[in-house]
Order: sequence, then structure tokens, then C-alpha cells
Amino acid sequence: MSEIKFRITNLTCEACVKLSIMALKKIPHASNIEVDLTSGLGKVQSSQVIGFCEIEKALESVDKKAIVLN
Amino acid sequence: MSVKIFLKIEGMHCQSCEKLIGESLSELPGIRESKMDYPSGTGEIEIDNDPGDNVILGIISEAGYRAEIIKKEILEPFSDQAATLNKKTVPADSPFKIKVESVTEAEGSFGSGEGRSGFKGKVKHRKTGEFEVPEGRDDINKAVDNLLHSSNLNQLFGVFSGESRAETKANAMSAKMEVIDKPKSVGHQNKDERADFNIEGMHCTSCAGLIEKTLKKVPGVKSASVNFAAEKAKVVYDNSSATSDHLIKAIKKAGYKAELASKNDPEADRGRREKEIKNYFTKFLWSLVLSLPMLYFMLFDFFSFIPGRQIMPYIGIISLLLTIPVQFIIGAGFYKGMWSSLRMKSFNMDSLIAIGTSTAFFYSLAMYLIYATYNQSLIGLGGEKIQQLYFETAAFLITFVTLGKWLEIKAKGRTSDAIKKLIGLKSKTARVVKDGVTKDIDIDEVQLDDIIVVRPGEKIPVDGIIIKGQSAVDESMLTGESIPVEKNVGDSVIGATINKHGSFEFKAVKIGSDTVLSQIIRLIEEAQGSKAPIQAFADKISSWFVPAVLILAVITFIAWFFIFGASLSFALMAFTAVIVIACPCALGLATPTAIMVGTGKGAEYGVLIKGGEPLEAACKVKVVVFDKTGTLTKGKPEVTDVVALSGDEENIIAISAGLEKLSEHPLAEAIVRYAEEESIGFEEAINFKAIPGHGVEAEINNMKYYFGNRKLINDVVRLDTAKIERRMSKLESDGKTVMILSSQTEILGLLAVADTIKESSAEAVKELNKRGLEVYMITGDNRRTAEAIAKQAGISKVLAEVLPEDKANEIKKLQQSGLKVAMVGDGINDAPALAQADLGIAMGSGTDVAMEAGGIVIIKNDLRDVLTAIDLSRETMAKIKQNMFFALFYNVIGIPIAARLFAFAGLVLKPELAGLAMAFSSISVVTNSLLLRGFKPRKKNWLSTLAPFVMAAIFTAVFLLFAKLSKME
Repeated sequence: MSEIKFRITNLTCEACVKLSIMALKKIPHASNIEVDLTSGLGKVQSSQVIGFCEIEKALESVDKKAIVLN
Repeated sequence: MSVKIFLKIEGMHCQSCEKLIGESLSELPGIRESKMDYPSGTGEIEIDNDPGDNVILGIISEAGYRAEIIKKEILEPFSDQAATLNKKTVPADSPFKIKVESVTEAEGSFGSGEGRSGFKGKVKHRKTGEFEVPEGRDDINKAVDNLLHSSNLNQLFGVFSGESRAETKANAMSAKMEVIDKPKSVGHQNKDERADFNIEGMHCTSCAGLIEKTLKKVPGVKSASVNFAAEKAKVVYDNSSATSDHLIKAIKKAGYKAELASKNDPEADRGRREKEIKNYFTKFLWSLVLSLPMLYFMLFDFFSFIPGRQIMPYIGIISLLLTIPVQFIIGAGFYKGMWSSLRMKSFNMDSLIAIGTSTAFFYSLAMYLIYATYNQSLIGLGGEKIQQLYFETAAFLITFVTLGKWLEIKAKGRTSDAIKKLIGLKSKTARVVKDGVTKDIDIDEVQLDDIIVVRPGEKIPVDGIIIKGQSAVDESMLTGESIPVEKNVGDSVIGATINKHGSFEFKAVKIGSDTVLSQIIRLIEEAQGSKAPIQAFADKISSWFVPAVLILAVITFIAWFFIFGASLSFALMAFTAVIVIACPCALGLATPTAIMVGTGKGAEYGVLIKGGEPLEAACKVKVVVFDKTGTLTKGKPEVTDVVALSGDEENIIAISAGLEKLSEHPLAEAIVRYAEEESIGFEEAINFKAIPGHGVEAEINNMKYYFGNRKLINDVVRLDTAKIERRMSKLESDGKTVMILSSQTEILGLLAVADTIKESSAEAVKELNKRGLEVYMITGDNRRTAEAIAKQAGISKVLAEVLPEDKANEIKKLQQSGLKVAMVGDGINDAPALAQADLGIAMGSGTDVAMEAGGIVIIKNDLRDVLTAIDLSRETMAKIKQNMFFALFYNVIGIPIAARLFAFAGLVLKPELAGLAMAFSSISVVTNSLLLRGFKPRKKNWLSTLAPFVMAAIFTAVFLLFAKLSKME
């Protein structure tokens, strides 16, 4: 089980959070997705290692930008 | 029937909300388009079949918003639309134009139904697309064709929808737009990207092959090449479908560690390698310490006088306890390696070691347990040791293989020293003048056009041009030339060279990865990482070797055990020995180590070999073709003859130089330089006048002089040239340009200028001939001039009056006679010929294009380095072939002995000794390659020539000794 943490920099409301989570869910093997509106912190757990590029790409599809944390 | 639904939505704050609703609605069947607008709180949906208001509103409320339907419009099916597409060819210089028109017409009545108002009627869409393709632009033409054929109309118009949307708003009923100069919107934006990775955990070439295979399976990967010796992978991939992360993941999945190679970090590279070397050494030491007692036990069998026999009954249990950590802790890497290769459905070297040692270990363990349970005793009964235990086989095998790996990795580290040396040359900081303040900054922060100050004894940080001051610069690290080069204002300086005395300021022209040094480092790295064609042979062998060996080993076992009825232990030991001896590890090292040392050595002498391919080509070359200007000759005219018809030579030179000082003619420079070199002082002229196509006239000391060609004397000065004609044509027949100096009344003298041959040319040609190579000269000059130069260089075969574009053709003609041709050149016009030749050798002083086209670059301008290149490549290729022999020799000879085929003749090989023999073959390959380090241009490397024979003899002896030792049991 691996975990990747990142920060989404342009969240404005709950819709953004919901949208981000929807997008992240589409990454294969992703589970336990958390995105916090106020801090922008996001976390994805996965059974296989997920590259940050995948996170970035998923979020890009909903116009969200992310920076990697760990 | 499709419907357009207009909505009012409450609760949207931002674009995310728009998207969220759109996303939710997209799950509706038949949805064609949904558009939300958060500032106005409205939305529009186009859907094929109206699912009913509640369904739509339900979905939106589920997404967290409140909505109501304002109105509905009924639309005609979209497919009703008409479309025409046109492609036109326009003159080549006009821009590529795309024009798309979309007209929507609605006809009907505005009415209300179900309490809501809306439009009812027929809606017509008409779209036209027009493409204007410039003539001769096949790429655009193709892209347009692809677009028209591959996409249906919806998608085609969708391509431009980004631009059309704004227009649609402004004029809802008809939209017009024109996209000009946007070939990108139809062209391919995918770009091939290159990435280098450092790879950890490879044990042999099978691993490298495995990683290559894995990488090539990743979508978007165009090519992948893994170098086992350098532990690097080079991948070219399409960045639209793969990322470096994907690649790293793929490598990880295959069981290896990978990371993007950062070129600026040799320190980390070295640290990592040192850690690895230490790691293997520790492993080896532990393994050795644990195995040594067992070696002692073994001696009991051979020599009766060895003390400590009372320990005999305990040998079994002690060996077991000693072997467990060796087998499972130190040997864990082999299991891991086997596991990762099994997952890729293949076998590698680790598999062989793991299977071999496990067989020995578990067989012994089983024997021990049977003995222990049967006799109810953990130790040997009757003061004897327990028979048929081979724990030491497993332990020694692992010890020896670990030793082999340690030696191998140490050797690998040494081969890339050349690059490390070069990288070490880079300076870390630069002293930059900014806004009048001088400051030391990091070299990475230096920008183009920065003014950099260099003091005596300092390294020049980047490439640039001197703007103030003068000095002498030691460029030996790049050119090998040990005499410092004088540098004045306007001269270029190269990063990493050392300023001797004098300080100067220079302007940065090339920085970062563009500097000459960086380019050289990149070239060498690429060369060392590349594969020679001969490597393909090695790769092929190792790919089927391992499975073949496993099959052979099984056959050996079956034959001995079932057919010949040998004991289980005998059959198993034969099985294990076959597996161990067959490991073609050495084969994987044969090519890369030799190439690494060879190219590294070349770089040391200013010969950059751009990889295995040119290296292999260079040793097969039979014909060498030299370009004339700039290659055989200095490429810079020099004064060759001075003929004084009146007065002395000095006077002629002084006056000519005085006149030419003001001229911009290329030959003028040669004359002025000559005067300076000969320390002949001259006075500057006044009333200077250049007469184009003729020469110059000017006054010195109130005397009017003329300097130029025949025409000047005949037409302008009106003097007769008949009496100098004989001398002139004689000089001209030597390929020289003759100029005449005259006063108003008489011809004073002649000056001949020619592009002179380099001092090294004749010697290089002679040496090449000595090596049995044919030498040609190729030039655009007329035959007379060409022959004159060729004679000086000692070349008899001249290809003269060859147009620049025909040079490649001439090379082709030579190649058609079945000979491998090398071309040596420096100019842009030589580039096609360099590329056409089997081997292109570019002069480092030449143009970048030439250097790009050549397979070998000679940094110094010395033609003798062509010789160095050919000698070095011949020697390197010889090494590769010797290495392959060493690698295969042991395997091929070893397998039948290990299989105990010659058991009747007393030749058997115990598995642990087989392990040692295998380690020896790796060591001999690496040692043999390292002997190339003794290479010196134009000197015989005796050690390197003789060593293979000596080594072959020694190892054969060792081999037979092992066989004898094995027999003693």
C-alpha cells in the first residue's frame, strides 16, 4: 500500500473538492482519496505505486493544479 | 428527436461547479452537450431523447445544486447538416490557411406549449471548411488529409470549437471564423523526448535485456537501450503517451531500481557506486569468513595429517549453521533476481545461481535430516562425518560469485573514469561583472552575454569571446596540445581551459549544456552507452543461453541418474556444476567494457568516438578520403613565395603589407600576417582605394603603388606583364595565387599566396599507406591546384573539381566497389559525404554540422589522429573479439566437463570450482579490456597484445587444476 500526498492550489468551493475526488477516483488502483478544501491538501492511497504525473494529469482534466508534497 | 433545455441553477460559485454539473449530466444517455455558466446561474443542455424534467433536475440536485427548467427547444437531428470541404493548393510562399464557416438557420414559429415559451421548427446547419495548403509542403498536406479522412465532420469542426465559441456568442445565428497561420492545430504536437536513467540491481546482460524488453512494452516508447556496464538506460519516447515516471514504474515492476539520471551530479553517481562496491565487498567478506571453516573440513578428506579431526562428527551441523546465512542472507539477491525474472517469464544469471545453490543446499539438508531422524543423532556417529553433504558447495559458490561481482563492479567503476575526469574539469563559479559590480556567482546562473572576468591561473568557466585584455590559455584538456595558446581580443575561449598569465574579460557565448565541454561529455556518454553492432551477437547468445543451459542441466541429471544409474549426489552435482559454469556473465561484459575503455582512451587523446558503431566501422575501413581545404591544408592562405624584381624582398613585403593592411580581401590578411611573422615593419598607406576584381592602390611615402592581379597591371597601371608571365604561371601551376606589386612605372615584385598543407598531413598519409589503406583526396579545386597539394601530401589518388553536392556521390562510387570508406572533412559541404561514408571523421575545428554528421570527431587539428582513431578502434575491436572468446571459451569447454562427460578420463568439475572458474572468466574479460588503458598513439601496446595469450594459457591451466582437484574426491 503506498500513499501520495499533494496540494491542490486552486480549490474554491466544495464543488472543486468533489470534482477533484471524482477525477482522482479514475486513477487505476487509487483508493481512500481525501481532499481538504481549506488547506488544499490531498492524499491518495493505492495498492500499487502511483506516479505524481498521474495525479497531475487527472486533476488537469478538471482544471486543477497540484504540487507534490512527498 | 433532440431537445435543447435551458436551465436556471442556484448555488454555483465557480467553474468547478459548472464542470461538476456537466460531469454529472454526462452520465445521461444521449446527452450531446451541456453548458453551464456560473456568473449568470444558467445552463443549457442538448440531449437526444428528453429523459424528463425530474430526471435532469434530480441529477443536478444530487450534485448539490437547485435547478429549474426555463424552456425547451426542439432541434432537428444533428446528422441533417450539410457540409462541404475543400482543399486548395496555393503558391509555396503563402501561409497555410484554414477557413471554416458554420451557418445555422432556423425556420419556424415562436410558440408556447406546456406553459413555457420556446422555438418550434426546423433548424439547418451548414458547414464549410476550406484549406489552403502552400505548394510543396507535403507535411501540411498530409496532416490535412489525415484530418479529413480520419475525423468525421463533428470532430473536424470540434477542432476549431475553441475559437468558434466566442464568435457564436456574438452572433447566435451564424458564426464565421478564420484560423490563420495555425498549422499546429492540425499538425502533430507529440514530441519525442529522451531520458536517461540510472539503473540499480542488474546482475548481467540478461537483466539488461529484460529491462529493454519491459521498456519497449510501455506505450509510446520508441526505442530503449540498456547498458549493463554503465548501468544506464536510454529511452526515446513520445511524451504525449508516456512519462519518465511511467518508465521508472515499468523498470521497477521488472524488479530493478531506476531513477532519472541527473547529468550534473557526478558526486552522487560516484557515491552510489562506492557504496555498492563496499556493499559487495562486505558481503564477500562475510561469505568468505563463513565458508572458510568448511574449506578446512574439506581438507580432512585430502590430507590425513591435518589436526582437529575430533571435530569430524560435528561437521554436518556446523556446515548447516554456517551455510544458512550465506544461502539466505548473502544469497538473497540471487533469489530476488530470479523472482523478478520469473515474473517476466524468463530466466537470468541469478536464476542459474539460485537454482544451483538451492539444489546443493536442499539436497544436503534433506540428507542431513534423513540421517538425523534415522540415527536419532544430530552429529555423525562413530566419530565419522555425515556423508553426502554438500553445504560447502552452496557456500563457496555464493562466495565466489560475490567475489566476481565485487571485482566486476570495481572494474566497471574504473572504465568510466574518463567522463568523471572531464566533468571534474568544469569550474563551479564564475566572476561576473553586473551593473559595474564584480561578483562570484554559481556557474549555473551565468547568462548569455554576461561579462566574465578571469584572473591568472584561473579556470575559464564557460565558452565566450574575449572583449578586453589578453593572455595565454592552456587548452590541453581539450586538445591535448600542451603549449598555451595566445588569446587576444576577439578570440574565443573555451570553458574549463586554464588561463595562464594575464587577465581578461570575456562575453559568455555558450553556457550550460551548450558549452564545448558539455557537448564532449555528452558525446562520450552516448558513445559509452551505445552498443556496437557486434553486441547484438552477444545479446542474442545470452538470451537463449540461459534457457538452453537449464535444459542441458536437466538432461545431464536425467542421463546420469536414470540412464547411467549414477548416485543421486553425483547426478545432482553434475546438474549444479553445469548450471553454474554456463553463466554467460562474461559475455555481457565483453563489448561494453572494451567500448568504455576504448572511447574513454580516445577522448584522452582528443579523438571522440561517438559510439560502438563508428568504432566497429573504423576497424573495417579500407579507403580514407580526405577533404582538401581545412583538412589536409590549414584552410588559411599563407604567403609562400616572394619574388623581388626590383629592390629586396623585405621592401616588397613591407609595401605590400602596408597596402593590404587596409584591404578587406581574404588574401590581404595572409600578407599582413606574414609581414608581422617575419618582423618586417611597414608603414600604413594613405589615399587607399580598392578596385574590385583587380586589386588596390594607395600611397606610401608619397609614392603611388598598385597591388593586385594581372588585370590591374594591364588595365589600370597599363604595364606589360609579358616578362613576368613565365614565373607567374609556374607559381600558379603549383596551385598558388600570385599577386603583383608595381609602382606607376615598373613592376616591383610578385607575392604568391596559397593554402598550405598541414605539417602533420604528409606523415599521416604515409602511416595510413603503411597500414594498407588507400588514401584519396577530394576537392572542388581545379585539377592542377589539387594535384599540387596532393603531391605535397603524398596522395596519388585525387578526386578534383567535385561540386560540393557531389562529394557524397563520389564516396558512394567508391563504396560500390565493395570497399569500406572513411571520409575526413570539416565543412558544412562535407557533411553529406561524412554521413554517406561508412565512417565519418570530422575535424573539431570544423563546423558543428560536420561534427554532428561525423562518427568520430578529432578535436586537435592533427591528421595523425585519424591514425589514432583507426588504431584505437582496431585494438578495441580486437579486444571485443578476444573477450567474446574468453567468455564463450569457458562456457563451451566448461559445460561438458561440468556435465561429467569426461568423467571416464578423470575430468570432472565440482560446482564450487565451476563457480570460481566462471568468476575467472569475468575477471579475464574485464582485465583484458582494462589493458586498453595502456594505449598510446602510434605505439604498440605489447602488454595488451600478449596478455590474452598469457591469460588463456593461465586459465586453461587453472581449469585443468580445478578438474584435477574435483577428481580427488
